[in-house]
Amino acid sequence: MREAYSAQLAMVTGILVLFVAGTFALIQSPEVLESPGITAVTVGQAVPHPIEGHENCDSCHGRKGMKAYPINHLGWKNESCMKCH
Amino acid sequence: MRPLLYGTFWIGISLAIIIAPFLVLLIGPIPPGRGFWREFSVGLGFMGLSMMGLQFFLTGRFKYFTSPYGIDVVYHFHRQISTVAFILILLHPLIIFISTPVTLALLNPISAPWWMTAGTAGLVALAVLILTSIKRKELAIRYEPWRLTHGFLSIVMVALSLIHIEGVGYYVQGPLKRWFWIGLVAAWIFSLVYVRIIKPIWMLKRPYTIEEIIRERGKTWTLVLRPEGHPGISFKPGQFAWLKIGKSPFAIREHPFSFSSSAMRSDKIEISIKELGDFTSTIGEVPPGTRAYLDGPYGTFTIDRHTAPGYVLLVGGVGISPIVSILRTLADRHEKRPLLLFYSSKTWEEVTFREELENLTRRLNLQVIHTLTKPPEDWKGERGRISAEMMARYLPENRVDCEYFICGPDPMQMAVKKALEELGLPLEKVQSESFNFI
Repeated sequence: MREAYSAQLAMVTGILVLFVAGTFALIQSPEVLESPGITAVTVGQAVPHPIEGHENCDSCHGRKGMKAYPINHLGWKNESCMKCH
Repeated sequence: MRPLLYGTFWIGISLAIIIAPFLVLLIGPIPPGRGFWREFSVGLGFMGLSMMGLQFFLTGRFKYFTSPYGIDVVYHFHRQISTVAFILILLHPLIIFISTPVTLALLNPISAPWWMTAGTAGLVALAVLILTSIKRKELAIRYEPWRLTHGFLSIVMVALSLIHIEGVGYYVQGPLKRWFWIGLVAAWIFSLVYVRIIKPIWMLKRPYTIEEIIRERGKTWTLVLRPEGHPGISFKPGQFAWLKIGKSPFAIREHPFSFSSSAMRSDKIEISIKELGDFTSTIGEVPPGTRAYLDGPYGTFTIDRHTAPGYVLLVGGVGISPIVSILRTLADRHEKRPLLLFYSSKTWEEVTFREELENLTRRLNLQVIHTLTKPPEDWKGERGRISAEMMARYLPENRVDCEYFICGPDPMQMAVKKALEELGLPLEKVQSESFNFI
């Protein structure tokens, strides 16, 4: 009886982990929910304007900029932007 | 109620430990996502490793943690949850390989970065760990080498996984996250140190001497242990301990055995062992005066946890040992409640503790029903295994209120549980304990 409960608990834990990992992945990839057509492996959209002379991404895309980046980008430095975009 | 509360508390703590890496990830700046499937697989990897780390605690025999459930169930859970963790960890690379096939090149140890090779090697170590545990008997691996390999591979797997995480370096940057992982690893190391060093040192100060070895019926031996320089072990009737025979409590060789003596005496402990495997087959050759160590008591298979107007004890062969401890304890306590013992043996000559049980019927309100699977021709008692039909003829009218204790080989336990179900008895009233720890 107790062994059956422990087997059930192991299964429930596994399902919980799958759920939490899925939630985390969705938080990190909101585009999956926003644009159903987009593939899950997409990293980030390419920068649609010339970069030369606009190296300080934060000035326009910071939290107080005219085209602010999402909240989960907070804390990333300018040098990191091009790694994904 | 208290075991239920404690049990729920520890389950909550375990789940929190498993999910903790994620809670910590959400603190402070979070690196950008790299696509749903990649992040999903990363999540599985982190939590899978967390689940594996938890195994160090599950198998550490911490009494506070194991007592609400019984250590047999904790070990059972260890086997189940480790398999689940293995599947989750296996999904981590598989999802990445399927979603981004180009990453398959990372399996090549010559061209792959060192941290990737560490991850691959860790996964191989985990696969070997799980396979040798599930198939130990089929692969004919002896207990001691298996146990050594099991511990070694566990450490290697966790260490390689940590190297992999550190090498990838994603999600673990920042002092808070770094300290979290250092703390988690330190807790795992502490658990190992506790099991392998602290506990044996404590046992070293509490040695026993095997005073006498008594031959019982049915290829069973009773070891009489006398505590040396300490008051002995205090246990509940039906509980068991891990026994180490020899000079050192640091030895890897140890086996769980039930106490067969009365729990009312801690100064003279008796453990009855049936000749079954490679270790038990030589138990009768142990010379008196040999040093021994006990790690215990453990187990929830005890009447002291289950109050009832009467008890029904269902025993098959070797399972008599804890039951005799229960009966001897009840006799010492001058118990008056009715006790019914169904005892299945092969032959009349092999009925272990036959004379002792006869003696106990005079001291207790006890009825013993012997059933033999290979009875002599003139046998007038019950024949065959314990069945629903057999039990129905002896059980009292208030059978629903009684507590049922089953002890014996696993197939016997399953058959008796099924028989009790057939009789309409609630399984909540049925207590059993499995010694299948591997």
